[in-house]
This record gives sequence, structure tokens and C-alpha cells, in this order.
Amino acid sequence: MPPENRKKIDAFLGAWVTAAGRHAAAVVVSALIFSALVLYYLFTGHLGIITNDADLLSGRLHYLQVKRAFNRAFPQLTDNIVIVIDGQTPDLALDAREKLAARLVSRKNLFASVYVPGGETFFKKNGLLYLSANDLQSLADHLATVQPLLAELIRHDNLKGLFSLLEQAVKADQDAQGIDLEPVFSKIADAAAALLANRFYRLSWIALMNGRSLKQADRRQFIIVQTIPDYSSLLPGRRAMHAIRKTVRTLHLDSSHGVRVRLTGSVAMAFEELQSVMRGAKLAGILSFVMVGIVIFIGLRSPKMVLATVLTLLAGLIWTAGFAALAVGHLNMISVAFAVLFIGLGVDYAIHFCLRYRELLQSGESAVPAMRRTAESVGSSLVLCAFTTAIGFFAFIPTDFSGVAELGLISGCGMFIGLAATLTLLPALFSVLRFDLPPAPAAAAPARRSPLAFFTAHAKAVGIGALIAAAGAAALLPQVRFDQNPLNLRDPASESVATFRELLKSDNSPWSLKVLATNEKQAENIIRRVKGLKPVKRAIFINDFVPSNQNEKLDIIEDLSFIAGPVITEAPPHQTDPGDAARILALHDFLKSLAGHGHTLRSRPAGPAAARLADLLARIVQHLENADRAAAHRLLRRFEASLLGSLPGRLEALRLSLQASAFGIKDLPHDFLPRWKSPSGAYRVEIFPRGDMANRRTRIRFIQAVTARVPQATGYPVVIYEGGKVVARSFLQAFGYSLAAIALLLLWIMPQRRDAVLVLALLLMAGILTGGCMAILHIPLNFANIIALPLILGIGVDNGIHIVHRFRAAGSRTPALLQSSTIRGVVFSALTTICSFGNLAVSPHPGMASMGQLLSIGILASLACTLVVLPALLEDSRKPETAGR
Amino acid sequence: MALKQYTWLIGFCLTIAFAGYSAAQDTSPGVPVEKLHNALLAAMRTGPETDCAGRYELLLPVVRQVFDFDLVARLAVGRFWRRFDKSQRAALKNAILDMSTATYAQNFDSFTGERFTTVSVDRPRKNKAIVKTLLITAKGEKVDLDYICRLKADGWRIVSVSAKGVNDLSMKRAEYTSFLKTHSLDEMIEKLAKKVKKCTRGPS
Repeated sequence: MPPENRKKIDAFLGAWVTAAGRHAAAVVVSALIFSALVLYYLFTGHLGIITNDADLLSGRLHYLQVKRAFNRAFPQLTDNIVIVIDGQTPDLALDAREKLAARLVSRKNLFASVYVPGGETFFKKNGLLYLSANDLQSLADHLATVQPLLAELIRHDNLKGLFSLLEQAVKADQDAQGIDLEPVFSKIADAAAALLANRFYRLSWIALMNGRSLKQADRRQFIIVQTIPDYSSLLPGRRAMHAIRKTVRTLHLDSSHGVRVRLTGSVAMAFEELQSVMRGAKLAGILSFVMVGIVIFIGLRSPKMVLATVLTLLAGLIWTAGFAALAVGHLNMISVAFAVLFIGLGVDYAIHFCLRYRELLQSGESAVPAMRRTAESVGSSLVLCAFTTAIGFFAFIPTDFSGVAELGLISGCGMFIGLAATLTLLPALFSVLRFDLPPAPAAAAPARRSPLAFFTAHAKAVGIGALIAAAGAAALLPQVRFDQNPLNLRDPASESVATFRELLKSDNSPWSLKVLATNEKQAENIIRRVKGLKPVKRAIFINDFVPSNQNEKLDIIEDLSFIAGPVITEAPPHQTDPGDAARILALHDFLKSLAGHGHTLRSRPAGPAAARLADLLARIVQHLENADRAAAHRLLRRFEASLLGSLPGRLEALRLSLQASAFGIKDLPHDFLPRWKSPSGAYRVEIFPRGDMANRRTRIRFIQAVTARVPQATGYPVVIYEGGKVVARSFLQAFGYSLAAIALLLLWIMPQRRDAVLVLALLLMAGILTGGCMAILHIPLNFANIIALPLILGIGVDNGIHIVHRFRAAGSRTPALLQSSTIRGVVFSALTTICSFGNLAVSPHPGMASMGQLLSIGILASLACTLVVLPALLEDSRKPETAGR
Repeated sequence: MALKQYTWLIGFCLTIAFAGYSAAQDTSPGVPVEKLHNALLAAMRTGPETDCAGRYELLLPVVRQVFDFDLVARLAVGRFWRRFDKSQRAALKNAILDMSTATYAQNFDSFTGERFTTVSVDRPRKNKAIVKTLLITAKGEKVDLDYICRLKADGWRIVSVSAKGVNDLSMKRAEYTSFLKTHSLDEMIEKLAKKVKKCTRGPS
């Protein structure tokens, strides 16, 4: 840029600032009014927050269109809260699920639908048809062995009935006849022990009635709730989640009743992520404001100057938020960071301005001329810096990564807004606050040698050292990896994320792949293509929900109802309560029978269990005898509930399941069918992975295997996989754009070409050093912090610009440079930037934290290069021009 | 209408009516149950004069008629039924018939004022019925006896009896399937026959 143009700009800035100072009162008042208007605009809902991370990438992308097509066909699968119910026993989980679902279904205004997988009456009736014929025969065999036990318990469902029955069993030595008493004794002993220890316990009848061992999966049940999106709220999903949690509390579905209810799913995770972001952002915002305030106080040393700076910063922040509301209309999970970025970067203009102003005042100039000269000397640098930083931000706008593009737009324009505030409001505030400074005493102490002079004295060594460091860091660069799993950006301690990770390891991974098939044949084709693949656990579509061999199985189920007998298949008969005394007597008699048959029992498998049971029951009987009637009554009732509480639900389930009848696809329940076959006739194919999908290698293997055979597969794993590619591409584009734009700008503006090259080279070095640090500290690149690298280019180059400009203005003399306010300016502006980003780094939201960490490292690297290496190289570059020092 | 077709039509209608008539004999599920109870009472009443073998002979034809041992045998051995051929199945069926009769003969050996009453007859399905009865002793004790009956081509037949809720069919299934895991069908038939021998050869 020709020097005359430069001078014209300088003069313009000087005039502008002087005018602002002269009409100070008007400027301040209008700034106040404007800020108030903007605040009003913001708080009347013009700035929303969106939390859907899939929306962070452009809707034009093909794979996102595939996803949208699928969601249109099967809308019930989106916007879900998944309620995960874990019980101490399968019985408890099932009973809890029934109670909770019944309550939730009645809240039609909150929930679009409440879906209980496997819980419809249809499946309760026909569930047995899904077992193999062999399993059904085994079930019949087992039911035959327990039928007498169940018959007695149904007719006398109290402690008396139970223990009389057991007494008979012991006396008849039924163990010898193949009825296994060991599990019965052992479980009753567990109940007795829990009763004595005042712990909650429910005997699981499912285990006793089914005869097979139970897995963790059997103790878990799900309810899937689809919410009615509440776009007016800042936190969509909040009402639904509060309602569910309140219902859970009202029904006492907690650990003291043997149940644990957790919420996960897309709505729950978005809600908790937003909560953690807001928590972190609030704290970070306040902390960064405070820390920045402290830093500038140390740097500027004058309360009035600090006040003016803080007010300018605040105004700029509000105006930028207003711009965000106007230009974009919402903030997403990434662009919420704009506030912290603005505080850290926007203050830099004020710092450089204030320090130069102060330097001029101390050298004896009076206020108004000093103000003008400040603007003339640093003004153009500040403008250039605003441009370079903005370029770093704007570089993402043309990419497909719209989430970061929005941050780029808001923050980039924010830089210009901050600059405008600094050049307009700050001088006006100085005037209004009557900022003044006595000149420094004439006989100033000899200027201390700057500590940085050490480096300039050993310029060559510094240069070589820098090259070695850069080479070393460059060697480490390939180790930097990109983590494309957005789950890692979320707080792992939050309930929704922790539960989700557990589900990913289970048999029913929520991260399955889905395919939209236009007809039945296509669905079958797709399944055939993926079924044999190693990473695929199973692939299903609606036909798999219609069991085969129904007639054969129905015959066996009818056999089951013959074997069960009317006592089970019919409603239970009316009973009279035998009273507490009868119950205690039954306990006594049972204990006597155990004692009497001790010798035969000892040699049986049930021996040890019987002994333990006898011991515990004796203790209970003793308690009963020592307690008063009311206490004994309570104890008996608690024992009875613990032993027999789960039985009615299981008998009802058995009764229902014996009513199975043959069915086809069109008989499937009306809230189940549309989840697998859309009203327009499209079929949903679900492909489940083998292994933990949170593991990157497993996930990529699965995705690649399936998409090779079925390119139109969609689902969350594909979305984030493709998304990762898009982000990486966007990053490379953005990095390229900003580097090119900054280079062109510098070459055009800076009077000496050599300076521009030097600044750029150091910039690159700072970037390489940052990459090396990331490799060493194992910090990955991800969706959130990817903006940091182009940003570091834009921010880091500012320091270089200031230094070089001052160096040339000071007659290319390094000592003058090192003593100048510019060095202080660079240090303090870097400090404020780090203070603000550093606070991001401790956010509970891992995504924001990684952004903060990366930016901090980058700024430090850039600072090191600028303070240590640049002056040395500038000194070095002088050598041919002067005749030595 | 030609004479030939006319006679055919009349013959057809008569056949239907005749079949309906004989079916009418067993249209109520309660019928086989009552027959069984009457036979048991008769057996009890012969008590002092006859021994177990005599009661066995008396009860055998009734038991054969009122029970559906085809189904009982299949249900009692579960998945093993498939492995047996026609003659084996027939042998099993007879063994169970004999054993059941012998059990009745042994248990219902004297009359001391018992009576049976039918409490209710339910038909949850077209071909399935549940008949609830009570056995009332002279002292007034009541024992629930519930029968599940199945409608076959030739009328209703009893499939299972539950005393106080405990289903004899379940007990058979539990016992026989467990036995057949380690023994052959012949051994089981022999075991069942032993019980019968106890009745027909031993003392009353």
C-alpha cells in the first residue's frame, strides 16, 4: 500500500477520534440508548439457542438429505426421550415400567407418544410365539414341575400358604423326586436376610417360574417417549423431562424400592448438554470478565482507564449479540462461545490504544493532541488486526460447516464492532471521565534493559533454535488425530450421556444403521446383503416380528394351558386372611420340619441353603416374639410383600401369554406397525452392530462394511462419519483461505515485503508448534475446536503486525522497540486473550474445554514466537543495512 | 326332482339327524365328569365285597370312555412323543389308562357318605371346557376338583384333573419327562405296570 494512502487513513482515524472526544457527552448518551435498545431486542426472544448437533452441518449435503428422507418416513424415531429402567430383579423392572407407562400415557399434552417396546397387550399375549418350539417345550416341562407350588400359592397367597407348602415339600422329601428346592430356599433366605437388615428385597418369581438364569438385559426395560417440540422455550424438552422425573418421584421408583430410572435419548442429551454449556458459559463469562479486568488493571494502572475499557467492552459485547440476533437469529452449541472470544479479543484494541495514549501523555503531550497521535500511530495497525482476525473467523463461512460458519460470522463482525467501539466510545469516555495523567518526572531512571534483550543479543542462536523446535514439532504433526464422535464433546458425567454409553455396549445398541426400503423385496435384499458381514450382529425388518411355525407353537402353548390348569388360567379365587397368628405358626412348623429332616437334607444339594434359611428364619421368629403386636404385624407384612409382592404381576403375565393366537403383519399393534412400515408403504430395515460403537475403530469398520453393500444406509453413525469428513474438508479449506487472504493483505499493506514474509513465516511456525503440543498432550481435533487453528492464524498475526509496525516507526532500532508500549501491549493483550480462553478450557463441557485449550496453546505459541524469535530476526535483518552496532 | 336324488337327499338328512342325536348325548362337558363320579361312587359302594382288582375291572371301561388318553399321553411325555412310533404310543396310552384306573381303584375304596356336586361349567373356547366340582365328605370337608375337558369328534373328554389346584397332568409331565431323560419307554411302561399289578394282584 502506498505510503500516502496509509497517511490518509491515519489522518482520518486521528480526526475521528478527536471528534469523538469533542462530542463526548453526545457519544456516550447515544451509546447508552443504543445499547438499551439492543438489550430489549435480545430479551424479547430474537436470539434463540439450538441444540441439535446434526444441524451444525449444511442441509445441502447429500447424506443429510438421505437422513431427512428417512426421518420423514418414520417420524416417531426422532425427538425421543428414552427412559431406561433397571431393577434389582426383572419383576421389579417390569412392574415399574407398567406403573410409569400408565401414568405417562395420561399426559397427552406433554408427549406426542409413549411407546413401550414389547409392552403392548398384543405382545404380552403373543410373546410366547417368539420362542422356539424347543424352548416352549422346555418351558412346559418347567411349568409342570412348579405347577403344584404355584397352585398352592395362588389359593393361599400369604405367608401361611407359602410356608405350609414348603413344610409339605420338606416332609415329602420332594428333593428326591427332582423338584429343585435349592433355589427356593436360597432366595427365601436372601429375603429373610434383607428383612433382618432392614433392606429392600423382592423375590423374583420370573427366575423361579422360567427356570433359566437371568442376564442383565432381563432386568432392564425401556419406555420411549416422543416429545412435543416446544420451540418457544430456551430449553426445549425441559417440561417433558421435569414431568417424567416428577412422576418417577411420585411413584417412588428409586433405589430404596429396588429400581433405578434414568433418562437418555436425543432430547435428554441435548437438554443436559445445553445445561452444561450454560453452566460453563456463565461461569466462564464471569470469570473471564473478572480476570481480564484484573489484567488490564495491572497493565493500565489507572482505575479510570480500566473503567472506560470495561464499559467499551461491555457495549461492544451487547452490540455484537444484537448483530447475532439480526444476522443469524440463533446461537448454536459452538457459537455460544462468541461472548468469551469477544471479551478476549475485543479488549486488545482498547489495550493497545490505552497503552500508547498513556505513553504519549507521560512524555508530556496534552490530552487532545495525544489522543489524535495515538489514533494516528496505532489506528491503522488496529484496523489491519481487525481485518486479519476477522479473516480467520470468516474463513469458515463458505464451508459446509454451518455451525462454525455462524460463529465465524458473529465473531468476525464482532471484531469490527469492537474496533468501532474502541475508536468511538473509548475516547468519549476518557473525555467524560476527565482522564488525566501527570507527565513522568524529567529525570527518568535509566531505562532498564528489557529481559527480552537477551534474545536479541543472541539472534543467530535463537534463529537456529527456532528452526529445530519447528522441525521437531512438524515431525509430531501426523500424530494429531481428529475425533469425529460428538458424544465425546458432551459431559460424560451427565446422566443422559453415561446411560447412553452403557446402552452402546449392550445388545441393543442405539447406534444402529437404518435403511429406507421402498418395498418388501428391497428390504429382503438389503438384509441378505448385510447379514453375513462380520461387524453386523443382526439385521431385521418388520417380517421378523412375525414368528414362523406359529401353528406348531400354538399347539404347544395350548398344551401349556392344559398343564397350568384352571388355577392359573382362571381368575384367582376369593380368599380369607388367616391372620398373624396363623402366619407365625406356619413359620414355626416349617422350622420344625427343617430340623426334623435335617439329616436327609444335609446330604442333598439343598442342604446348605436349608441350613442358612433355618438360621435366618429362627432369628426372624425371635424378633416376632419379642416385638409388640403392631410391630410384629408390620414385620410380617413386610416379609410377605418381599416374598410374594412380585407374584401377581407374573401370574397375570403368564395368564395373558397363554391366550396367544396366530397373527400376520396386519395384526401388529397400531403404534408398533408404523415404526417399521410407513403409511406410504416404505419399510424400515435396522442393522445392529457387533461391539461398542463408542470405539472409533469398531464404528468405522461397521460403517464401511455396511455402506459398501448398502450405500443408502443412514443413522447417527453414518451422519457423524460423513460429518467428520465434511468438517475436515472445511477445516482445510478455511485454513487455506485464511492463510492466503492474510498473506495477500500483509503483502499489500506492509511497506516492506520482507516484513510481511517474516511475520507469515513466524505465524506458520506458531501453528506447527501448536500442532506439536497437541500431539504431545494428546488433545484431538474435534467438531468444536476445529475453528481454533484458522483463528490462531488471525489472532497470532496481530502481534507480529504490531511489533513490526513499531519497529519500523522506531527507526528499526531494537532497544527502542523492546522498551516501547507495544511490547507491553502485546503481552497484555495475549494475557487477556488467554484469560478468556483459559476459562473456556475448564468448562464441564468437553467440547468448549477443548476449544479453550487449543486456543490457549496457540496464543502462547504465537506469543513465544513474537516476543522471542521475531525481535531477534528483525535485529538480524538489520545487519546488512547498518554499519554494525 | 328325480327319485334317485330325492332318496339321496333324504338319506343325507337322516344321517345328519342321527349324528346329531348321538352327539347330543355328549353335548355337555359335564357329562363325562358325571359319568366318572357316578362310577367312582359305585366303586366305593362295592367296597367291603370287592377288592382292588374288582374295583379296577368295574372302573376300567368308564375311565377308558371319559378320558382323552391320546392327549394325556402326548402331554405327559412332552417332546419324547415324537420319537415313539404308533405301537409305542398305543402301548403308552394303555399303560397310562391302566395306571390311572388302578389309582382310582386304590383311592376310592370305601363309601362313608361322600358326594359330588358340579359347581360350574365354563366354555372359554369352542372346544375347551372347565368343569368345577366339589367332593364333599360326610364330615362336610370340601375338596375342589376341577376338570379340563376337550371336545373331540365323538364328544367331550376329560384331559386333566386338578385337586385343590394341583394338576395331575403337570405331575405326570414332571415325573415322566424326567424319567425318560435317563430311561427307555419300555422301562417306564414297566414302572407304570407295577402300580397296576399292585392293585390287580395284591390285597385290596
